[in-house]
Amino acid sequence: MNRVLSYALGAMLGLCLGSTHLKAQSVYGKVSDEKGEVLFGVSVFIEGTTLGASTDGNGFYKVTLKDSGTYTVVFSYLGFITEKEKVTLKKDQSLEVNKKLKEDKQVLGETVVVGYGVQRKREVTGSVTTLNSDQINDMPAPSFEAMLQGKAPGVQVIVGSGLAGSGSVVRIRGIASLSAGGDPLYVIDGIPVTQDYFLRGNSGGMNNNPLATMNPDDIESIQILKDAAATAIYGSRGANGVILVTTKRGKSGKLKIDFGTRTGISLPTQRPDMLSGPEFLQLYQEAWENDGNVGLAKLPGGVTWEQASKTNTDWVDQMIGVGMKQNYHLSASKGNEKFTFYTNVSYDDNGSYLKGNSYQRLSGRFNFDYNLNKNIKIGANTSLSRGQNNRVNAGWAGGLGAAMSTALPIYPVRNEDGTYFTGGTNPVRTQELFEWRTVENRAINGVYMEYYPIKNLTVRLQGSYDYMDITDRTYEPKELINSSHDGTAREYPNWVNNYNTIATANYNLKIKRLHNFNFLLGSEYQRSVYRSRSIEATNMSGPLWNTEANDSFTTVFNNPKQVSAFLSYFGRINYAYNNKYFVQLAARVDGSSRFGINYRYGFFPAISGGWIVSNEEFMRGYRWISFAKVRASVGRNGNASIPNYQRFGTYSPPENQIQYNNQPTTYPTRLENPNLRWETSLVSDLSIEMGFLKDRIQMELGVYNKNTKDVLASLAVPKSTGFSNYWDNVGAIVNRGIEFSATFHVVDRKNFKWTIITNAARNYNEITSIGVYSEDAVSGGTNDTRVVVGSPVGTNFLVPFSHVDPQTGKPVYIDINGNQTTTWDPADRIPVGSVLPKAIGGLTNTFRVKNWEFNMLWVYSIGGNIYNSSSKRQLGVVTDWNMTPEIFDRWREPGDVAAYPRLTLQTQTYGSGTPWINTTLYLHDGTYARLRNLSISYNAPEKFAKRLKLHAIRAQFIATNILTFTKYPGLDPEIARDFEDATDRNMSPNIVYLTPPQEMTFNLGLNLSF
Amino acid sequence: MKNIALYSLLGLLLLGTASSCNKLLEVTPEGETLVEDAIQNKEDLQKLLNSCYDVMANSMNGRTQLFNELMGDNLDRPFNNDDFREIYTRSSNFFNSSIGGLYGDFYICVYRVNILNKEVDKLGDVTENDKIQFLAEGSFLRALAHFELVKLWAQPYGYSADNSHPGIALRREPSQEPITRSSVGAAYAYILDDLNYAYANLPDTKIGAYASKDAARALLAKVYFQMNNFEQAAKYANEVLSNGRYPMSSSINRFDNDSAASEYIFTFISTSNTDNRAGAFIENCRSDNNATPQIRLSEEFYNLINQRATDRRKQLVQVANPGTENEFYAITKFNKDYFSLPYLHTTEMKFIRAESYAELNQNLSVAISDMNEIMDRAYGTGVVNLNPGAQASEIITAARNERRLEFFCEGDRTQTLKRLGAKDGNVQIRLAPWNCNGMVLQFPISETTTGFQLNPEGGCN
Repeated sequence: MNRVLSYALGAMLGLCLGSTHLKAQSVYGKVSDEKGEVLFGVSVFIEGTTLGASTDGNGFYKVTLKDSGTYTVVFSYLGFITEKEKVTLKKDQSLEVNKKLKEDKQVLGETVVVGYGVQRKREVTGSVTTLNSDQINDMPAPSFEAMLQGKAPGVQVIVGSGLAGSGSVVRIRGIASLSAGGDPLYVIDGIPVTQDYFLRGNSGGMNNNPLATMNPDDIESIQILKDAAATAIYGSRGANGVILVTTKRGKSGKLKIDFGTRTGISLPTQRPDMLSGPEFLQLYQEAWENDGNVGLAKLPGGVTWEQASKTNTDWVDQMIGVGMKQNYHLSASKGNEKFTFYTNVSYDDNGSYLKGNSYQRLSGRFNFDYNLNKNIKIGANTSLSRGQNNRVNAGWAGGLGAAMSTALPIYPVRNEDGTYFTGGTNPVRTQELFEWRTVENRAINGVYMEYYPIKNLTVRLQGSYDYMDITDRTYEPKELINSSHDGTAREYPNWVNNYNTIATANYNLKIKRLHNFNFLLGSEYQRSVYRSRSIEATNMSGPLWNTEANDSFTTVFNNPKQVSAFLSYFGRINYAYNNKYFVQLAARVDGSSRFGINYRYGFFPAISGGWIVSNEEFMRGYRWISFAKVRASVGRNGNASIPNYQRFGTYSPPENQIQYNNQPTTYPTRLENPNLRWETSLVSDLSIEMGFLKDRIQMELGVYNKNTKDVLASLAVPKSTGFSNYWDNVGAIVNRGIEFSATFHVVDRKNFKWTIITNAARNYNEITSIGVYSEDAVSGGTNDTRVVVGSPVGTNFLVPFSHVDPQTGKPVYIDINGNQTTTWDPADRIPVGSVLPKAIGGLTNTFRVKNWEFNMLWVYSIGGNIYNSSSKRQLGVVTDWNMTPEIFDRWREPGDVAAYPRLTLQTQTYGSGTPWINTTLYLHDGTYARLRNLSISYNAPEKFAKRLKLHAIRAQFIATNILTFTKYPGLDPEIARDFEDATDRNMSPNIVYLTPPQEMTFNLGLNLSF
Repeated sequence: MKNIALYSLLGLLLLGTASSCNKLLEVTPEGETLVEDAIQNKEDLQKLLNSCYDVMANSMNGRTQLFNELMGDNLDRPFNNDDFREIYTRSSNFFNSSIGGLYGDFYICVYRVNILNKEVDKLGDVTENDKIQFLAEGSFLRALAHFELVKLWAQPYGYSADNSHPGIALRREPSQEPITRSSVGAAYAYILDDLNYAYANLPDTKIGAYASKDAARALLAKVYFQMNNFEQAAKYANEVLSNGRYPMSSSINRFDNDSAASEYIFTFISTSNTDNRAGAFIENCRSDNNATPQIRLSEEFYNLINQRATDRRKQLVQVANPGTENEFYAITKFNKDYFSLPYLHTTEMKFIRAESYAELNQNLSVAISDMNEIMDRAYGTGVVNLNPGAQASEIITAARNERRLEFFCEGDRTQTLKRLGAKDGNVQIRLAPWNCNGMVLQFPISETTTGFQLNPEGGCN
């Protein structure tokens, strides 16, 4: 019927046109897809001319030509393969050319995982960056999230440190939270996974990394959702972005087996340089004499000068070695119409350059999908992994941190009689005697059933269970704790059971070819139960992992169970008109157990739209523009990532152990806040996507604005209230920024390809209100990062250092009124520096020459500051800390112009009662560019592989972090210290404190496909 | 049919979650008691009161005493504790977490007392007598907390003529609102109000471990003495000494609970080494099992206590590592695993009565007797005594000298010097004026709310 109508209309149109151009030639006809459905808006033009037309609603077109002759008619339609047809027109001839276009699977078929489903990439109206498995697995890293660095615009990844298993700080479009978790929400195969970084606090100078057990080899793709349109469907928890991880699943085809191995070494990016024994003694004596003392200085640790002069221990050497790495993985996948499966088993031994430190991960995965019948599909994904972190102390806790601080070169490792030196810090003694393992067992499992009751309707039920079990075990032998009985073993098990159920219904509605609707309706419930315990066993001859405890010497303390729950309802409508115009409406209602009944539910709507401009008629003349799309969104999302139960006012448990004079007690423990509510952000985004020269050049430019209010904060309330902290919604934060990414296929020949991928982003962050509270109400603790209205979250709040007085050698500061002073007064602190870089980005160059591939990833950060919090002791008042050689540029006598003040043992010389003073003297430009990854790969010729009965062979050399350009005088410009809590993590991303530098690695790899 | 199945399924899904949504999200904490369930009866209230004693005991476990002492002249520079060194150099700032911790603990006690006052009227099983007893004990503890707070965080009573100089935040009821500092005069008035209530309502019996009328008397004597109000100080000291319930012990070490307990008027109780209310003393001063104690005596004090060969109190100090580079003057007074901490005791009452009478030039024979009793214990009977006809000024001199020797490391010396500075002026403490800025501790950073005036810093050489 349609066909008849269209021909009739076409004929009428032809007649009509014919009547006005009686003598003209023309080409006319109908364009449809392979199934015969007419296509509206197909661009039909005559090659080499500006003549052309678009198909109408019935797929009909007509192009009129002045002259007879031979022409090439081009049929172009986004998402379909462009077709050409040569025609010869005689004078006054009207030639019918009907065309069936084939879908371009590469464009139309490219899908993007979004919340609770997938969308065609071109139809996505939100800001989503997709990374595939090749981009993720191109280098070894302590944890998979570190591999995102430099690969996605607007995503700042600060790798924690060189410690094995170390986590990264990931910030998507800045930071919009103060005390609520500021990390993106990680969703693995639809499961918002447990991502608590503080289950073990910052013991040992490291936060646990809940993502470390994730095997990067299992990852098929990662989608980073950035704006409200993309994150709205995760409304309550999308305020800081969402990272969707999709694991590999089987594909149709024969059994495919892959084996890969990689081995390598780990070294520090830079070795800490500390004073030698003679240098330390010289400087210590100089400080002593500067203070007006005579004779020899009293040395720290009770060491005599005679002993000290004979000792020159390089503690850094004692702590650092060459870490060994090895990785093996074996995977298999297969699929047919009935089922698909993917399975993988891998072992990773990731040794760091710190002696005794490694992270070993054994993991297995099995994913399968099974079509029960044409209406029902079931599937499951299960992963089991065990991560064993062989821990060492670092940072403030000791180890290399001690070698950079209180382990003085005048201390020996051992006394003359062979016993350990115990007069001062001896990290070797601790490291050799103290045993420490953290073992994490993790299982992330999900099952689903999809039911297709009618055409285009999918009902999906999914249940997931994320089990996390982290147990810290330590052992201190009697020699270490100076005890008369045997040693002490401790065990701190933590269990998190995270249950998640999702029910969704998804319906596609197509009205002709023009109107495509997708409706999604769903609900989700998540419940997380956390348990922990502490066990201490004395009289132990070994650690609890291999020694049985005697009950009579064992105390067990069970911490109270903690439960949190989320209940959500959500809906989404996607509308696409003629593959050119796209609109999405999404809304989610979230309830959280963390908020009281009056504020329990939050409503998070978003609207967004996209327009593929290049599909428009008026763009036909710009053939060099292969793709152009504009999209915009506005919406609201939120954050509820705070500790449980903060809304309740509480007292101690009835059975509490605190007694006075053997009498029981009860006492208030927390202030009530029934008004605690969601932190919400209003986010808007405008982006342009462009493709040029048949997509040889692809670009994307986006701007965004995020206004966050009711910011959740753990406030330091006046202690005179009887409490120290209180959770409340205070203040507001704004983030705005610009992001750019581009791909250039510079050369695209058969035997030589050169591709450049680059991205850059700039984020502006500002606290616009902090209510009635002072700068110190929310703080990054000892780092002196604070909340200052008009400055970014976690700005460095420091006393400005002016210069060293050439006459006295004393440090001169600037007081709050701008006057010079030699008194360090915290009341003179001001916001200084730039906690956030002015720009971050990455640049990837890939060259493929025949079977060789050469890949380089540079990452950079421009304009941010780093505060070296350890410098106040390494370059400040002379104490029981070793110092760094920069101190050689110090004042010695009147007239000296020096970088650092006179040496002194007295804090008053520096105008303070304490050596723990933060000033701008230790705030540095953290600009850097780093060759993050360099790899050379060789793909063996197919014939060679076949000779070995293999499908493919690939050998690789990978080096990471081998070059860094920076003016930062410290160890590594790209690290962040361990954090005390979520507030500190949000506020202190640019602080280092005795933090081990990142590792530099060299690796060889081999991949075989069977 | 398919549609029916579909709609049923969808309906069930939505209903299943929606109907029970609030129940699914009602999660209450385990291991804690909700505020509304906490104080249900008299027993609960008693537990709350016990917790007030508990937190006060922890505040007075040596921290308060040593922080006072660090600003004075009895001690040398602490071994390596930066927080302590800041106090010692009289340059504390609002980052000092040790100071902040102590400050907060006092106010935890105040908060709990204020809660107790609020809850006491709500309980059916609390009689009027019970109520008065609860309120009186609470008042005693709140007064004690405010008294120690105002001594450490404000210039002394008498620093300004009308005592209008900044004092402390006075919390009269539980509230989360930031408040500003009241004057020192207002702080002392509040302390006296509380103590007078306690005095009027506490039982007049020997109790020791809890507040009693005698404890209120002794604390009133102490407060008035600190205010240089000798008449009232003498009155209350005399009252408590006259009832004969607390005979002075013969022990030179008041912290030896076995031998000195007879003179304890009010004590913070330790029951074992895991329930030790003298932790800060032992942790920082103990020298028999610690080669590097934080707290060491000044050379001046060591020489002072060794001035008289017969002074038995010499046993409470010793030279550590004599003749070596690491020689220091150690304290042996606290060389125990744990001990109960006498806060109010006969020895101090005798000092207060003797000096007050001497200041008033009244009852000098009683004053002389008090001093001689103390000196007999220290030097041996009759070895060093005041003459029966000693002048008031001699009594005062003896009282002040002996007081320093008797109470070293107990925080008394610094407050004595500040009191005398306020009274007489021209008192130097380690070469700095008694009223220099650093002689009071800085408030913790949490107090920096609008209108709260921090203490000025520095100025103590």
